[in-house]
Amino acid sequence: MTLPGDVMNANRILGHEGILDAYGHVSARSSGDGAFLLSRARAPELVEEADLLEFGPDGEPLTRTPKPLYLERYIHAAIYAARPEVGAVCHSHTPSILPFSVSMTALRSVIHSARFIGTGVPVWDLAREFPGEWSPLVRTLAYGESLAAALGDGGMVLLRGHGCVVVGRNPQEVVFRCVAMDRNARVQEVAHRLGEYTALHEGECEKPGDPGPPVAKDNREWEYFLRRAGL
Amino acid sequence: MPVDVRPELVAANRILGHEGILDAYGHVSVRHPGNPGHFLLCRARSPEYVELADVLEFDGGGALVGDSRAIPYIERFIHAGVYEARPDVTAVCHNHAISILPFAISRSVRLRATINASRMFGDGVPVWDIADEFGDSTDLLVRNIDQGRSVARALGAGPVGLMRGHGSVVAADGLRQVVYRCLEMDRGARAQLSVLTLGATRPFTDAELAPHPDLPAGGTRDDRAWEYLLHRAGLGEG
Repeated sequence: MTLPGDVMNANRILGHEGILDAYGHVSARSSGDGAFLLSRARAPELVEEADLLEFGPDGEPLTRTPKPLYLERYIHAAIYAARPEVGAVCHSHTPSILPFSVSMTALRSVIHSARFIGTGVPVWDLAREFPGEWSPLVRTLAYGESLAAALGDGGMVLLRGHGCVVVGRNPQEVVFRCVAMDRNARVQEVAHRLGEYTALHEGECEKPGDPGPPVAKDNREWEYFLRRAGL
Repeated sequence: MPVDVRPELVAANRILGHEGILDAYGHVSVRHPGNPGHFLLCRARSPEYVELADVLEFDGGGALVGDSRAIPYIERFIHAGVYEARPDVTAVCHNHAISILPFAISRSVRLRATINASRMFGDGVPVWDIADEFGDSTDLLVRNIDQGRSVARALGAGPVGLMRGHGSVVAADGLRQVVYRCLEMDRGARAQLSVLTLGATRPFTDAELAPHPDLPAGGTRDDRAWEYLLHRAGLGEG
């Protein structure tokens, strides 16, 4: 499968799995100079290869287009510029993580499949970073750069009252991480209601910058998610 | 000639995938009917999509038997450890069912019998913590036979053991019983979570939870559930 095919499938899978709904988007780096592939403004589950456009490191399409674009494409542009090892980015509003974007209880790894989350996901607050801004949308490159700084060298950042961003080395890793993040958030929320709980120890979490061996592009979970999504 | 259990092993995989007990991960195995020191388990593939050709044979230490070049599940040692420790067990499932995961990390609430389906939980299901014996810097996966044996020790003589931050292991006599137990585990966990939010409860008494001489271990049942589960998974018999 080509990179555009992987980007299309990642969008469709995360739509099918309920990580994304009408909104949210998955992109992949397309060149070493910060360019990336992202769909025109379309619900992820419906994205086709022909919807993908190439954007530059400023977040603008490399070729002028009359098609409506995602307002928050600057999230992707800023992260590819800040993180050379990142090959794919997802922005989502997954319901399970939203409470943690508002709560003072940190989202953290509690299950082994979500070791990338770590001991406490940072929460980026646009209204605090840019006083006077009324919208939570990352609609400028400067906002994207601020968000990328909050992400740091981690795998995930929460956007207060809005959603999250998950990064990975390829679209497959981003899909697996998003699904694991959703499960982790649901488990942590329930365990928290039950009282005390044991999160993953620091040594059990992936080290930022050392996520372990690369994710194979053709493995059992990719087969599973493709088949479930009818792909 | 022992009966060929491989088709039922494939069906058990597909049913547990279809019912959401297993997802992309997790696995179910059966003790080898002709060689009780060995067991049958599929190659590393999502359970809902395994086929007869994916079934592999492993020895009691978790080593692949034969010259297959298929990639086995890393955590086959869970199965090896349980079969070694429990002669009464002929089928094992390792899963990450989301309903039980909060109980696998909670220090406040134990997974315990709440409804008839979860009588097997008794007054509390054991939780194995890999950090207790193997330190707090593992990736939580059961990667060798020593760790598999440790899981089996925590499971003890019971049907279900939880694994901290990871999932559960379910042991039974036969593939159908392990499938039923996985589904009962899921129902029991979900019921207990709901009960906890409703306030005061009417818990089972010790007498109700005690083994009953008229009820064989694992319960008596006809196979209507198996026909039902095959049908739901698109595997109708015949």
